[in-house]
Amino acid sequence: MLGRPENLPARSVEPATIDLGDIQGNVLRGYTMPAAAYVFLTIVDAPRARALLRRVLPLVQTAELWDATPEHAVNVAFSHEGLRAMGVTEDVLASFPEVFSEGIAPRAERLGDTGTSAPSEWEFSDPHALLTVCAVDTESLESVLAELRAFEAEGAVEFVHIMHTLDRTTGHDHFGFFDGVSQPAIAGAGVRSRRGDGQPDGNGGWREVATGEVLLGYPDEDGRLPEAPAAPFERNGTFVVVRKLAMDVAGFRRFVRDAGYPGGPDKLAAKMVGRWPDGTPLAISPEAPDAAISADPERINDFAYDDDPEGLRCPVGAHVRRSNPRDSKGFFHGRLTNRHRMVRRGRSYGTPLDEDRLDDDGTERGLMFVSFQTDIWRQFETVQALWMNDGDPLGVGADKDFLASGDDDGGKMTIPGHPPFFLKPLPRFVTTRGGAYLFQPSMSALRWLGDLA
Amino acid sequence: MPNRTGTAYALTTFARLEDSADADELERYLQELPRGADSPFHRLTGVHLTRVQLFRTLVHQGPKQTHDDRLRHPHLVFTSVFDGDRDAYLDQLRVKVPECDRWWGDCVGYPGRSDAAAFAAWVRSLQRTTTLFQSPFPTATVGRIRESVAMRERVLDFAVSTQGLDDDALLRRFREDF
Repeated sequence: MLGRPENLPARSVEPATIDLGDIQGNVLRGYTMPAAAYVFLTIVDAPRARALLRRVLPLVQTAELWDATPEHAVNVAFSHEGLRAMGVTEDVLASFPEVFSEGIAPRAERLGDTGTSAPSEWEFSDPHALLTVCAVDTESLESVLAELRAFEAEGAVEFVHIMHTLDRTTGHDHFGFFDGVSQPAIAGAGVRSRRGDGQPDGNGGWREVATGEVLLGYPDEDGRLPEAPAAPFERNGTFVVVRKLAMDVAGFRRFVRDAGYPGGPDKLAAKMVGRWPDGTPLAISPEAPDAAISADPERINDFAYDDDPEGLRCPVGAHVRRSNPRDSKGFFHGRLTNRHRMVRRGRSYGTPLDEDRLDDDGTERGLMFVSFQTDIWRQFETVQALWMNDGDPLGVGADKDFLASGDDDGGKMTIPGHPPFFLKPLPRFVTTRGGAYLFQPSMSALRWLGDLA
Repeated sequence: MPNRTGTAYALTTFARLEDSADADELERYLQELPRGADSPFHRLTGVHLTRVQLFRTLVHQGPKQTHDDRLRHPHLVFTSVFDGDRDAYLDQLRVKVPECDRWWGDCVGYPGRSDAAAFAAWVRSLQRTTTLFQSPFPTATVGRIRESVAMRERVLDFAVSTQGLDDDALLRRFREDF
């Protein structure tokens, strides 16, 4: 098990009911290969780019189960402009949803990407395509990247931005928290879900998320096929949101140290996040981390919020509660949350800041946020703009997500208690450095793109 | 009483677009209307909430809905919650919001704003009784709500700046600030 945290072993396998061989990998099951790079590129010459795609196709991994971990895995996604540059006709392009064709940069204000996070400050935005390259080691990664660079030298494409990521062996982000714990179990994917992975079933249990919340061509939680572009993109593809998020680790550490929270800095950080650094949910264990919970894959994600409406255990405004409110008050016993789940496959980048260091060392570090969903507006944008940046849906007024919604204009978080504790103003711990709205086609659609005349 | 909760009145109107109207263009216009302090509705007094939008299809209500509801014609839906009297509000709207001519101008029978009586009568003819109307502030005017929000911010700033003070110091600060 390469790069997999010990407290989150692989899910056991069961028969799949969807066409795994036509779905690109990393959507239904996350790669655990330790080395990875994101290659953002511009298509310079369409015929050469299509030839490149045909040569890359054998490297593209599908969602089929592996007998053994491959040396490397490549996945391919395109922006709307990228599909146009590949030669997709205007009538097919017009069938894609407007939010995707618009791209992420024009939507920055609603996403909270303002001030130092504004697109004018970004390193890249809405490039033509993204190649995600994962590998078992650095050597294997570099050999694939060298092959891709040869394509660039041939004039097919131009690399806009290449970002190497960190080994995810520990599963912890730069702020020190076990990340990526809560993922929706997808119906038909061929893996047995754990308690808490899916949706509350209304009877104290859990069920899997409808396939159509993540993959086009299957019924979604509404019981209907999600809106999809025209053939050949109508099935087994998914929309991808990518955001490069720089994290001010020293600033975060100084903040929790200096805030004066009566429970101390570690507890304040846990209250801001909603979990203890080892992943123990505050909803279950509000006073201290509990290894018996965090080490048990059936318990680490098995919790709800309905018995904590005031947020005395896990603040209503905590990061994990905002991003997945489960059955919080106002979310109709989880039915509203069910329409806003997404698969996250982010990876950290940049070397970690030395433990206990409180001053910045000048190295940029952060998270490459990656999510898969069938409706960017309903899923990613709603969570980011209406749940994380705005407190009204959660009943906390002007409060914001204190971990991820840094705001140059202020902001506040309330930690319920007797008395409550207020954090204000909101510093910017996370700065957006780039982003893209992309579409990751099915394998058959990728082949179609490569064969376009 | 329908249309009213406490001191707030809820106006709901549906106006059918002319067959010759360009619904796409009208939708673009509506989406680009300024918001916040630049919104045309900011010129009105006593407004809790106003929405103007185009209904072209009705949203599917989930797995239990067996048939789709489809509109034969796009409809301009104008809804507003405000303090006081409906006709006084309509007159404010007519005088201070010339943008009305753009969004209602493509609707069947719109008389324009020059004739106050005709304008009010036309809007009233589009009105449907608001049967589902809840207000978090059923008896508070917009002015009173704004005062309360400002007070809340003041109290919040006070709470933030006095966290950790002992009782005597807290009381002293409270008397100084309020």
